[in-house]
Amino acid sequence: MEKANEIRFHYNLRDYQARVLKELEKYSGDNKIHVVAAPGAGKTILALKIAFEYNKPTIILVPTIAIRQQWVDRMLQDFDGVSKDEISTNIRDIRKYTVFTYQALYEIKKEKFVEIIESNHIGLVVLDEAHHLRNAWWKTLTEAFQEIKGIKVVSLTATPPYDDTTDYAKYIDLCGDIDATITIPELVKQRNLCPHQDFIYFNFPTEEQEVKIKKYRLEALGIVVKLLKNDKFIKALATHSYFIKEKDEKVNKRKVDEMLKNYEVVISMSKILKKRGIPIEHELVKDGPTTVQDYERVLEYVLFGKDEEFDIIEDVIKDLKRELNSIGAIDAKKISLLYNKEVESLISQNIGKMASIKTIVDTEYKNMGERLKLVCVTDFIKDDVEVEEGSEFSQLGVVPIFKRLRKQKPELKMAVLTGTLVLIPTDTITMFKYLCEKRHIKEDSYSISDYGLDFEYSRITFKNISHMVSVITELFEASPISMLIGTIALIGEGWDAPFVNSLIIASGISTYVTSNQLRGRAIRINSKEALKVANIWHLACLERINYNLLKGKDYDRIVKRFNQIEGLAFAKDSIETGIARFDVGKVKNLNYVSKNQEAIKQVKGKYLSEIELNIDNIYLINDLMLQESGKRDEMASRWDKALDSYVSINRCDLAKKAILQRTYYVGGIKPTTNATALVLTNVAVFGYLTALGTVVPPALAMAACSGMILGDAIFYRKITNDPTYDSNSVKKIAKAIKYALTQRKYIDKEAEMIITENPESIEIKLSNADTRGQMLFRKMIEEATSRKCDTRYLIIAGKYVFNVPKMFDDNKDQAEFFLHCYNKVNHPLSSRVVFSKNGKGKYDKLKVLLEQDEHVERGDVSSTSVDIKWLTSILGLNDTLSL
Amino acid sequence: MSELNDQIDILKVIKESILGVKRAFLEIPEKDEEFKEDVKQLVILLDKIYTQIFNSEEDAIKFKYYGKYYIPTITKIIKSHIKFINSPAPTEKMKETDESCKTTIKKLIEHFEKKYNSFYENESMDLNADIQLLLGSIK
Repeated sequence: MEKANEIRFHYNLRDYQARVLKELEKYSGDNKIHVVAAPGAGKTILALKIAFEYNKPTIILVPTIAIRQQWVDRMLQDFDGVSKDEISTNIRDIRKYTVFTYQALYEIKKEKFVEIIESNHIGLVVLDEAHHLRNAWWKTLTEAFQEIKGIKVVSLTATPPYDDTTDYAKYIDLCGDIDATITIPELVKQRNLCPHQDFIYFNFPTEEQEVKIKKYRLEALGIVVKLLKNDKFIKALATHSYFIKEKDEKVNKRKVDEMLKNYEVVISMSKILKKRGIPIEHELVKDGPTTVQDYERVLEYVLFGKDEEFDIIEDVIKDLKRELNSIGAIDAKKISLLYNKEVESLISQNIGKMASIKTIVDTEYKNMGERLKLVCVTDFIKDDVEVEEGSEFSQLGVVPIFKRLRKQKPELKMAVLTGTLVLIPTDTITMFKYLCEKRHIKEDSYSISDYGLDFEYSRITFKNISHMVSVITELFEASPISMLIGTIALIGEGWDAPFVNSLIIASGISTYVTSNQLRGRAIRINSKEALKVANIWHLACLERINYNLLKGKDYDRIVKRFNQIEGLAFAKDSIETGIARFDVGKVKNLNYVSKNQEAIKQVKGKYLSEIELNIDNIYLINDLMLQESGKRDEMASRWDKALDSYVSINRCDLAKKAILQRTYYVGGIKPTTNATALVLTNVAVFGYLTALGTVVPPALAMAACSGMILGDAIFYRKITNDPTYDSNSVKKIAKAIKYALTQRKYIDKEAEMIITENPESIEIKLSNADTRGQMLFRKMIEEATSRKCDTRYLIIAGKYVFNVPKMFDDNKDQAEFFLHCYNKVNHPLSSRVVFSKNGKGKYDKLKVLLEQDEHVERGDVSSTSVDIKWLTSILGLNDTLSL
Repeated sequence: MSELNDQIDILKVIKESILGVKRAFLEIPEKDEEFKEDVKQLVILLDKIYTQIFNSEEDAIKFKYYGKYYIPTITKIIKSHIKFINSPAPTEKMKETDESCKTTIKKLIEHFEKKYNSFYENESMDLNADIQLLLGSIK
């Protein structure tokens, strides 16, 4: 430890770095310290401080050689007392601090790594940019750490793979639970990142594209219609052993296990059978409208599920495969009746996005003038796309965007930066040469040629790609170039250009890792521009059905992108997560944006997610986005106001949909609720309530049954729009979890729960708790309300059913303790713990799963949970579907 | 629609009874080789018959009572046999009944083979007549 004291950091630690270091002891119980920090947060310094404090031989693993050098530079430049001799970047020359790449580790294999750790008495391993740890690298490290005992692991990342369930589980298994999160808003607060705002700009496919999309869907749904009329197929489903109640009760119980494994398929099968008028007399069957997803699930199961019971319709299966393949509906054993690859590409790579880019560029250029440094990233180059004079480009890509803007906005100076194509304005060649010279790049290392007949632009070909990015980036900063168009592959991650003040994401990506890495390009602070503010543009292609616009798969992608991103709301000065940030209808003076009073009426006071989009109001929303993008001056002060009341990200954001499902299942409807809403409590729920011994008021029971008669035409729309949902169940479980964590001293008594509801979600924040406590709280709420229901114990409290969070799920005593906590703060009339792995508990669990089926959103064509009856009617298939 | 429902009802009854036989078959100890082989043969036959009646409404109706009464008896026979062979001190009477179980299974195989063939009887008769006619005409 003496040596550690001799190492001094040159600068002051940032507040959050100090905070994490202070809380370190709490985190390291499992020998794993896992820090999630936004780009620019100073993760390297934080990890080095930990390493120096720990004072044991340390290995630092990094994804690239460039980052390897950054670690060495930080150690030598930012700290006093670290000797050069103590540092190595060679895996075969282990010293006190050895930095090498994951690739190098992979090459030496696990056994050698274990040997290195043991023979050199390594005490600490740092995993930098840990989100890269998937598959091969993950496997090597996981296996190695299983063999090595007592070693400490520090994992660092800006972007854990939150949205990939499989990868996330593996990732957490290796890195441990997240101990500390340093969020983007925290960094903005301390001006380590710049104030910024996200904007969504909508467009829609061309008529020609729409015809293609509709054609595919008609063909796919035509197959479904044919299938529904196929008696052999229906007979095979109806006589599946799932729906045969056998005499031997033991056998029936065993069958529940099988049904649990395939509960989604069981739900879908039973719904399809009901649609065909086949009564299924089984307590566990589900009622409700059939959705596209139901058909997709059942088709996938029948075609690829290897269930021998369907051998009997081998000929039907063969025909189905042939038909679905012929329209491209099957991809890697997955069936999509709404989006095959072609449809998906037509939408995500929609050429309408090029017009949006032009409008955004116009607006940003008008607002910023020559100060504009805009980057547009897209997925493909499309270098080979040619277009005849007077025609439009048919594909989205770097070259089509460049050529279109050249034509329509010739005054704009642009650069193109991709792995194979680099273009710069010809009048910047002199500066380019100067920058090369400055970097000692010889003239024979690159060549300059014409770019076709466009003499105002020149093509640069580098012999060494490593120089290319840095030179062009510096040229972009130093020259009058206002816009750079590039590919995600080249500039999507790790590209450092802090002067960029506007970003257009013209890409189909939705993953948290990539989208956040992309945003990271624009929100860095610029030492040369203290008041930098950044705009980030997201493009979404809606799907047009006559006058109405449907939020399709591209919109879903944007929603998914925003799920984990925190940022400034549009109208109110607060930091929000998810699409609910876009409270566009609450922005003041909508009249300044548009004169279309009808459109204003449709939008006013609403969140984006609440608005039924159509041709009129979408122009209003787009214009509003453009207008708001010009308010850069206000943005910094709005961020400051919002940050005053900001509680960090470690909160529980639950989609309201999930809550609805939960209350849907538990029948959380007040007796005063109107009959339409009571359809929620359909016969299955009624039956279940009765089975649980819940007293169901006769009026409620009658209403539940009458709901069945009302049919599904009205109530699903009601669910989607009904603001008076019951989210009590989540609040109750959150209270219980908070109490349980306080009892176990994971959080202090001063911790306070803050609940905010909006149409999209309910946010439950925990203030006055440390990061670990907040993370635990969040994780436990997710576990308790998860649809997966994979815990050993369930709690049935009055009309609510929850999974027992894993921390209390080991044995009955623990589960009872959690129940005690629940009762203490909620005072339910009745409550009990149920073991979910056998007998009645298992049965109850299956009921939960079956009843938690997704609700149907009629207005959303992209979601496969859309009601097929509605969908076929808007596609003009109404008559053919009715049987 | 009701026709389809009727067919499904019949199929479910028959399938349930066949499932019963299959489950009982799995309980027969490996050492009881001969009996196990016989039941296996029976199970294969029942599967073939099920495929036939699945595809033919007419045959399903013909076979309806088998599912309801006869096939469940097969399950009962198999289970009784298993009980007898597992008995530590079987009586003479038990041995006699068990022998009868074994014989019954053999007889049932014969019966179901005939039954299965009967599904194709009309078709075979028609085809034979056609062949006779064809041969006659080319003589």
